[in-house]
Amino acid sequence: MDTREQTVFIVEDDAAVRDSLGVLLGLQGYRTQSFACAEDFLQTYKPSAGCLVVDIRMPGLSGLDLQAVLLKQQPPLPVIVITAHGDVPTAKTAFKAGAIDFIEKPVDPDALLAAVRTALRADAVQRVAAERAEQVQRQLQTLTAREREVMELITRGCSNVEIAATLHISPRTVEVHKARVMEKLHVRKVAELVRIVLGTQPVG
Amino acid sequence: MAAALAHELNQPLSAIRTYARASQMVMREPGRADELMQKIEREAARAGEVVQRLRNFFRSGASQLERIPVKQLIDGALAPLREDAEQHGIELRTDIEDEATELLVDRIQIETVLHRLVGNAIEAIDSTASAQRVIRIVTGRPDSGWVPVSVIDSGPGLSPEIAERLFEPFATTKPTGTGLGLAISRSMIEAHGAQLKAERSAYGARFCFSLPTAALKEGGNGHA
Repeated sequence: MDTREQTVFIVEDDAAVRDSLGVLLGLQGYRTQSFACAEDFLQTYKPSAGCLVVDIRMPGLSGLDLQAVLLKQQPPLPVIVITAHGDVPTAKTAFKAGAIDFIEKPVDPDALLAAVRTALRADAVQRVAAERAEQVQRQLQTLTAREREVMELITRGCSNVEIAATLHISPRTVEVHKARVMEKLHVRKVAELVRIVLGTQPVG
Repeated sequence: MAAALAHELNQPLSAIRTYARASQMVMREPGRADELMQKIEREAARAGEVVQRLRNFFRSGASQLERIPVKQLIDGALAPLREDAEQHGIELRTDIEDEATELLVDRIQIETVLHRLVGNAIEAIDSTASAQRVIRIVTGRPDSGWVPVSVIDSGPGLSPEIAERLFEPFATTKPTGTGLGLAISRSMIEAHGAQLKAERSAYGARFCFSLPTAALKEGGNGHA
């Protein structure tokens, strides 16, 4: 994904800290959007590509609260949290909720830039995977009911003969359905088919 | 206290460090570099202000208790504020009972607390167009060795949200505040074995605390 399409969202209640982060990231060529509180951010935010740099301790909704809200979105916006020095319990909570990195104040600008690079990369990877999953979903919808039955039996590891017996059709017809499924899903090998179909199903 | 201080200093220091890194990136653009340098200067001044504000606290961090009559304490604390109040068209009214009651307190700390509370009250009243512009400092009769003190203003009062976070370090509603004033004030009152509380009164805000009398022997426990 083109990083120019990504936005670094900054949510920080201290005006000077907020401005300095915007200046630094802007000079590095990132598109940024800054907010003084989590509430303001949530009011304007539409799920988009990028990452979030958020201060943990803010009046109103805290950085952790905001992280929890964003986790409900798919794919979730990668989060970098900034907090007071040595706030271990908060760091633990943030990491458990999937924070990319944890930056202590006073902010080390190079550590922050490195964290932003990591976060944007993670965001891009997530988005490619999500796009791929969506594409597979679309392709799966083009299958006929019979083709879907055949596909499900293939992914369960059934042989052509077993599928033919289960569906009361000839092995030759199974072959034809199988070929159509592979064509519609743009795969050439059965192993590939199994991987992408299982990959789109929710895990656990 | 240490955490609040760290937080207050970390804000400008974060900004300074980040601006400094950013200015390294624009060295060849004097205009932009200069703009960033000015921001660095501003933030350094802000860090200095935090230290300045805390100086009183650290200077009197180790309590130096002295015997002082309640009226003398209150009048002494308010003296430097009268001019400020007058300039804002605000009346400072004191209502002191049992004026001669001797307190055993750290005078500088209690003065700092009263300065903060009255200073806040002046700002609160100033933020409204209210016709009534009065700050009352009321002390009551000693009760089991403690003298109750209230600072009541005719400002807009405290919203429930503000009241809840009032004493948290850095929970400021003022654009230029460090959010430490009330946190420090509370620490100082607690150092005297009492509590600083905020209430919403019929009009404006009301801050209350108690001060130990000299009659109350040292080592007396805090009370509600």
